[in-house]
Amino acid sequence: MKTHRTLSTPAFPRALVLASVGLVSAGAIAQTAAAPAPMVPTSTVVTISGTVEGLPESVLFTGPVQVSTRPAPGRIAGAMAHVVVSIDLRQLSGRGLSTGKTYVSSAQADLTRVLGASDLIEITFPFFTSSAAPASPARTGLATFVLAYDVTTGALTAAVATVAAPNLPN
Amino acid sequence: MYLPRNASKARVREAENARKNRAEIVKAFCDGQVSRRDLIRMGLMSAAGTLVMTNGLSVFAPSAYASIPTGAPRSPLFGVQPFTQPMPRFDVLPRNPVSALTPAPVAQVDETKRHALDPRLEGVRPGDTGPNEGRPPGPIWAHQEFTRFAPQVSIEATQEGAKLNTAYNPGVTSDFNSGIDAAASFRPTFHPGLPDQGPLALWTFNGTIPPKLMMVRYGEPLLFRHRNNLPFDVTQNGGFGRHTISIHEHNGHHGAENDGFTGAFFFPGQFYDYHYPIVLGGWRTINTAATDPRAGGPADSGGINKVPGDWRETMSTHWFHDHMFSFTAQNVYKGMAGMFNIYSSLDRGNEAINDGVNLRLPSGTAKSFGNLEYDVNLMLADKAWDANGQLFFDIFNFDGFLGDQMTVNLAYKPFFEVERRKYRFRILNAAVSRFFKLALSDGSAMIQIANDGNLLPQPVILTETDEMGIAERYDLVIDFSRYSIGSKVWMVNLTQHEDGTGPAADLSIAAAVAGNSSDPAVGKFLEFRIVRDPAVADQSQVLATLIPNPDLSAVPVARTRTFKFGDGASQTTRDPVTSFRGPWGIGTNGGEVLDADFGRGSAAPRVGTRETWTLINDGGGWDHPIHIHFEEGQILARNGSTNAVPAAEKGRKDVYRLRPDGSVTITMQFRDWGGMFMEHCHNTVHEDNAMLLRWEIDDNGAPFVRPLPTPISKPQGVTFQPPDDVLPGAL
Repeated sequence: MKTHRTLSTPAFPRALVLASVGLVSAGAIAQTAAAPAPMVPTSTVVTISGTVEGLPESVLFTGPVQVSTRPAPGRIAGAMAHVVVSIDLRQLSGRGLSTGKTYVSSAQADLTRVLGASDLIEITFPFFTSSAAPASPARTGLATFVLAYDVTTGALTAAVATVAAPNLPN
Repeated sequence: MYLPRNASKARVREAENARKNRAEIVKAFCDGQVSRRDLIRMGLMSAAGTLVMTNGLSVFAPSAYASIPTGAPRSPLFGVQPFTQPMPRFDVLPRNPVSALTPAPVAQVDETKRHALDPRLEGVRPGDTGPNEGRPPGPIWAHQEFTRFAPQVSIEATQEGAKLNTAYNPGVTSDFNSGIDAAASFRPTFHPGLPDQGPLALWTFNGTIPPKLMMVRYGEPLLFRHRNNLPFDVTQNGGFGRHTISIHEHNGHHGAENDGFTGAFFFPGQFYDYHYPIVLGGWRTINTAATDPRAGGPADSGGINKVPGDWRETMSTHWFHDHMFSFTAQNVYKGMAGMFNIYSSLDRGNEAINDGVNLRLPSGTAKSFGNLEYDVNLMLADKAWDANGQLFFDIFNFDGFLGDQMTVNLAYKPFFEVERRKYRFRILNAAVSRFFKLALSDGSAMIQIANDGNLLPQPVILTETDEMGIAERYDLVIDFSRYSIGSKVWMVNLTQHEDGTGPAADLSIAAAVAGNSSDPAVGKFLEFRIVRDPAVADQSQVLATLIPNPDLSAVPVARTRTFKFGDGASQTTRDPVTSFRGPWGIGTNGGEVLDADFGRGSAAPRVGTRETWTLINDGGGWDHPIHIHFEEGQILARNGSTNAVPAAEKGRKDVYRLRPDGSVTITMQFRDWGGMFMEHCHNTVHEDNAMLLRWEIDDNGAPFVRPLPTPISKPQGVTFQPPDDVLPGAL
């Protein structure tokens, strides 16, 4: 049995409020109703947008991203609880700002994170033109997520996200 | 786990003393001077098997300096800097004619061939003799189908203490091995600036490094003769490790007598013949006339030697390692691990042959198969060493053991020279308890083409891999043509650990590269130096379809089983040899969580049938990478959801990460070979502390008995006893 929870807008530090914010719609998060269980998994869809600047052209991405969380209690007494965050970017679509070409991504990420009231996650993702051959060179984007949790249940209460070009000096 | 770099001298001294104290206890335990029961009686261990938090023993003990875990001293680097030594390629084991073996291999152990036993062996009296081969005798442990798949090639290796390598064969010329002169003696050290490992500290194949590579091909059965040249005296182990061994070819489709069963170990002075037929799954029933060229091995001529079986069962990247009952973690950590490349008509190891079958993955062109120029084995392992630079291991943290220094191919943070073209890297997580999440430091894309031993149905483009559990293998293609000559890029580990229970956090690439993690193994660990253009154009490719999964839809699911992996296990048997007490265990089909007993049968699928198994993490927040021997599985669902299976896990696998509180449902078909196999956590500290079970192929009594008798290995010979226990519903 599933229940739905209405999300409140998180009070993130200003520095974490990103230029492009995907609002989580009310009722978008479903969670299991294992009432006595202290930790509950959550799933939501975040609308993400942002531009990956670079050559041969900048790409504007928009689209839904599935974010699912599975919190787990601390492993030993006094240890922090953890949460496995699954992010599915396969529905993300980009448009080349010069050519109008469509870009897609195949990225799926499963991340272990320490459970806290809020968490900033950065993941890179590959993208390529929708008609590209499998081994064609792919470019890299950076997706940033700010997630808020109810730390008593581990439930995800809010999520915002944006896309940009990574800044990874080699 | 490890002290921060700025820890006070007093704190380091305290931790060093604690480590020495623990090391003495570890040695006494390994030497058999004290049992786990003795330790409990002495108040050093709780009944659950955990080390009591006694100051002076535990790095986690409340100390004068802190009331929280305080960490172990870091491994000294003796002034060595990262990325100052070339990464050595694996050392290719020579392939010889079977006639080179003396004595000639036989299907069934000849117990009349005996030798005088060294009285330093435990339980041996002067004048005792033992069989030359340590394989259990009798028809059940005879090589199955030894005539049909008569060995055509032999490989012979010893297990022995560290020594100079004067016969290093990287399989490539020096310019493809970062300039390493293979003719020069190769010292047993993690870096030329670090002390050599002593012969009791490091026990490797042939006693040397780099780690060893076996190269085999379908249609060419192999006889691997493994000689145990470890010290006769069990106490001569440098503080940890056990001199009795059993080698698992992970994850070979062979008879169980060749699987490295945990109880079928052998002693110093003996050898064990492993017969690897190198056959495709389904060879008894599918493509029996061997007409499909996709089912085959590479011929010397460049063509294909067709073999029976299902071509979709083709495997590529295996490894081999010790599987000694209760001592796997120590022995593998001590050096008993190598890799095993399997070549096939599809995965030829030659990128130029364009016959419509060969996938032409990055490799090379000079030889008809098995070119290594652009096909590189990487063995990742975290290690720790003591103040003298000697390998150190601590068995008293049952959550797992973490090293603080990253090695690749047993080299501390090396560099590797590459050309501007595509490479295939066969990456093995050979750690004891550590997970890795891999990325390039600049976030560039990679292509995952295989997961564990199997090429994926479709390649997966990614910039960060999934968490890679212990014993998993990821084959990644990296295209260095995007870089200019003279530039560098690093392989980075993003997964941070706080302890051995499982990943604590996956960091962003930027955070990992910044080097601010409290975990010394996070960040850059392998430097790629782009040194030149290829002399010959890159002819390799990565096609949209690699190897689809076998279609099992026509095979009904005969049984479903559940296996719950958790702590707080109980033990129902008391056999002093086969059973073990530890904090970990496995509950089968809703039964209680039980400690390991290799004399207990927990499951016995009928030969030829298909089953669905659900592997459940019994909470507590730990992660467990579960390995099922012998048969490859297809993941049907994670946490009950078919949508939660990522693309990189949609091929066949043999290790399944459960994730905290998670579950994995898989399906497998059991066929071709019989005998007893294992299922266990490949966090080998968990495995050694009782998270292991035995299952066997049930053919209803023909040709084997049902259930199988348990081998009991002794220097004087192997005896058998009835199973201690057979769980309800196993058969």
